[in-house]
Amino acid sequence: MNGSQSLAPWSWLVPLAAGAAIFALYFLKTRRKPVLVPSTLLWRRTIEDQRVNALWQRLRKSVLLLMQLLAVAAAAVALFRPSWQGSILRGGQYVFLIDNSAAMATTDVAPTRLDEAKSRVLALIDQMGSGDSAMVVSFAASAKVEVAFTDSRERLRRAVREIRQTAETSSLTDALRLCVGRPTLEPGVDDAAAPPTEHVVDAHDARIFVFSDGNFAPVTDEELAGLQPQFIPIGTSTVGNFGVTRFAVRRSIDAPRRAQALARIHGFQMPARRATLELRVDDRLIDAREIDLPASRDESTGVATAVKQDVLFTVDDAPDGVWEVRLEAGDPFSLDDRGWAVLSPPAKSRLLLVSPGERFLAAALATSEARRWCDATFHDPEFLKSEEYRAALAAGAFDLIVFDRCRPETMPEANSMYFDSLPPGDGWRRETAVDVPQVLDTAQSHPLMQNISFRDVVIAAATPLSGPSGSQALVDARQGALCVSSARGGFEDVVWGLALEDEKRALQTNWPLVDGAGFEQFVLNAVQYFGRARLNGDDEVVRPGNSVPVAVGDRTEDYVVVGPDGRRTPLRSIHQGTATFYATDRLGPYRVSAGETTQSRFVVNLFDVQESQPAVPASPQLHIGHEKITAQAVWDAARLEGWRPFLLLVLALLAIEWYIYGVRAAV
Amino acid sequence: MSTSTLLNPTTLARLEALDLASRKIFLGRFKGERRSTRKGRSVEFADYRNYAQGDDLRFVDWNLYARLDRLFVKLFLEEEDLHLYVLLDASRSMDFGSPTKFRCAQQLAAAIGFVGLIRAHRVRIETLGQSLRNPGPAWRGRHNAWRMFDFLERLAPNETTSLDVGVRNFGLRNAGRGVLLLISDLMDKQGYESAMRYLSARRMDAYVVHLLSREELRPDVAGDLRLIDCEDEAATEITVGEPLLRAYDRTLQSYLAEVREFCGRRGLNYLQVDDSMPAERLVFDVLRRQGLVR
Repeated sequence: MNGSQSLAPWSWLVPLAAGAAIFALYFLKTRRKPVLVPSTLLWRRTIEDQRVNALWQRLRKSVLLLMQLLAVAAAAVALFRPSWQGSILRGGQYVFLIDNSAAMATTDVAPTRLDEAKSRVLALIDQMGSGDSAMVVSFAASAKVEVAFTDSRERLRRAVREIRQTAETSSLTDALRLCVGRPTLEPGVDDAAAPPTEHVVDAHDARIFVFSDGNFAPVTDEELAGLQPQFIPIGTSTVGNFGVTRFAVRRSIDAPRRAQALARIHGFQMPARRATLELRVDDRLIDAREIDLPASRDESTGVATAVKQDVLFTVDDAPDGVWEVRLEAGDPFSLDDRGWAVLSPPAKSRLLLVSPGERFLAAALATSEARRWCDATFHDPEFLKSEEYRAALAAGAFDLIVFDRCRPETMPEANSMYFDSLPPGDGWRRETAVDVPQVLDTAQSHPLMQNISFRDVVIAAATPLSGPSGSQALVDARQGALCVSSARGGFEDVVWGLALEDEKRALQTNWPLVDGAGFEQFVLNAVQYFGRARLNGDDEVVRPGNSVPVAVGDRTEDYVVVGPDGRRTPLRSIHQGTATFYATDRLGPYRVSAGETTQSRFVVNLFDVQESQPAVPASPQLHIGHEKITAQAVWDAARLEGWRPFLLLVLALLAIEWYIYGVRAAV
Repeated sequence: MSTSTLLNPTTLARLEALDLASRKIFLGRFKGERRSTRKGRSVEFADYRNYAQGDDLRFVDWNLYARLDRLFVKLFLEEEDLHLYVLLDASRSMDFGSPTKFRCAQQLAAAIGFVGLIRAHRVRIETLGQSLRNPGPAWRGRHNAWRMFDFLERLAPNETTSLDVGVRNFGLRNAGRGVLLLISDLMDKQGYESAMRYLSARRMDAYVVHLLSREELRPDVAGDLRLIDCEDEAATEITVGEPLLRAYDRTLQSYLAEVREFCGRRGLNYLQVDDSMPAERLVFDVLRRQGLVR
């Protein structure tokens, strides 16, 4: 502790004089009347009897003096401005970014990492000087401003205490964008329409603190590279974990009642362990296995490696419902010990063929294999103008609509395929027709082009195409793409620049159109590809915080989503039979209900290898752009003022002295 | 009869009917009216003993000689005087009260001494501050009453000798045994215990008259006071309130009980008296009840 020369040397005479004055006044303060008595023997005994029981009463005679001198001494020390070397927040504005992603629930720091981060932030808030302001932001998959800039410490403390653990993955980018007033907008929201953020700061004025375990991807946004946040790592580098990182259920193609469930378990920095893996359907145990998980840490050298183990369950009479796998391995991170998947009843894909009259498409859809995979409906182009068509679209009645030599007025809310016509809109363009185009390549990696070959195929005439940006050529010829695929929101459009026959029904290609090869294989690929989600468990992993498109009918007002905790969320923002559900902050199964009827289900899983790896690197770093920011464990060295406690001590001493004086006067 | 300001004639007349009553039989010095342990010449037979050469033939029991043909001498009880000692505390603390404790002690000494004189006992009155080498005067016989009164009148409460030293000096000055009346307020900061132990060891028939003034028994003080001890001038600061007065009363009662028990255990007769009590009532009531006079 040290002091500064806040007082001139002569000023020290004041407290010294005050002490001397009190000392003198103490002995002069009571003028007692002298009384001559025969003996003071009994009086002395009386007073001593009252004092004898308490040790401190020996000092009672002079305790008031002592307290007054102590009060003056404390006041003098307060004037001395005592301080000590410590750490302190500097600057006027602070931003506290607190990671509340799933891995922050790890218990390697008692009670949890999130609690540790909150207590550290609360300690910093206590250090804030008057006039300083701060903002609290929690971040996981997305960032949330818990409290905008305020100088009210109580509001800041309350905001920090109210931060809740989420099961989301972690992303620092959103949080940093929020700091500089450039929040990530929801898809579909125009930048210009975004409300102005009130928590915009000059990134170089405010000091940004990141409290996190560092389990997030590097920030690649170069615009954030100028920020120099201070990174305070929370957690230990030796903690290990076993976690479920994949869980999928598929029906067997040959026997639809049979299903296989695949669980993938990752281990990080853990010794070999025997664990129990339970398989449940709608919370009913149907299988359990003891599995030996290999060691992911060499005990002798301490070198850690990630290990992976797949466990396959085969269930002959697979019930429909929510399938769950539970891992009981006794690790400190429990959020990733469960995984869910939905197995729906086997259902065929629904296909609408709109054509003025077509032989080969109808023939391909009429094969037994195709009929096993889909229910096809045929209509002529006039159907596109009917109310029935619009109602079916609004209800999401079709998985795939094939337009042959016709096109709708607007793009349908469904996957679409076009033969010899262009989709509506400006994105698609048709080049000049060419004769005998030379096919160079097919996109073999695309599911639609599986087992499709254009070798030795001759095409009489075709029209090369170009799609919107991001589209993919499935069949590429020297003169341009003959078949193009383009993603559109949650749907996919496939456009052929090739007519199978001309107006005179003359074949335009020698591509096998029947007998199960060539064109028929392509159609089969299409119905399987576009209808796959309906046949198997949904392979798409919905992670906490992600939005989920939910297909609803025209009775939109009754739809609610019931979360794993029983919370009911009405569906709003319904557009053309699809609503987007955002409140996926909890892991587990969600149920879409209309009234009391369950319409569909979806599940939210963590399934993130990075979150399941909770160990903090030995020398943690943040990567922002090309900058590397090393973790900071020490605050700025600074002088911490300590005169306030001494001033409070003065007041307390005066109060106690007054009390003692009152008690003594009453004796 | 002599007159005195200490006792009025009426009291003196009433006192003439009293006598000292000692619980113990002591050797006397002169022929008196009290039975002595010494064998002597009273009319009361005590014992026989063999005749020895030189014995007075008048005391030979000739009847016994006729029967037994042996000479026996008859012994008779001797009647001797009683020694009454009155030891007065003349310290400055006795000069308090209304009338003062010392005045009260003088009156009591005069009354009990007068009873002794008229019964032919030897009466000696001393103060605690009496010089070791100069014992106080002793009187015997009614005619010395006025001398005793005069002696008492001339005493003043201005001595500084402690209780312990005073009692020890008294013991050294007076080797004989008898009845002792110690009149004191026992307000000695060095304690009373040593003095009482000494008295007890002297095996006298000792009476301790503990004389306290009203202002000691029920102090009438209030406020912030600086109490000054009249003997050693030691100061004690107090702020008097009802709780402190209650505590003082508890201390006083505890002190009196302690002295009473201390004296009782050592065979000393303890009397606690108030200075407001008239001497006449003290003698006829309190001392009579205690058995000192009858």
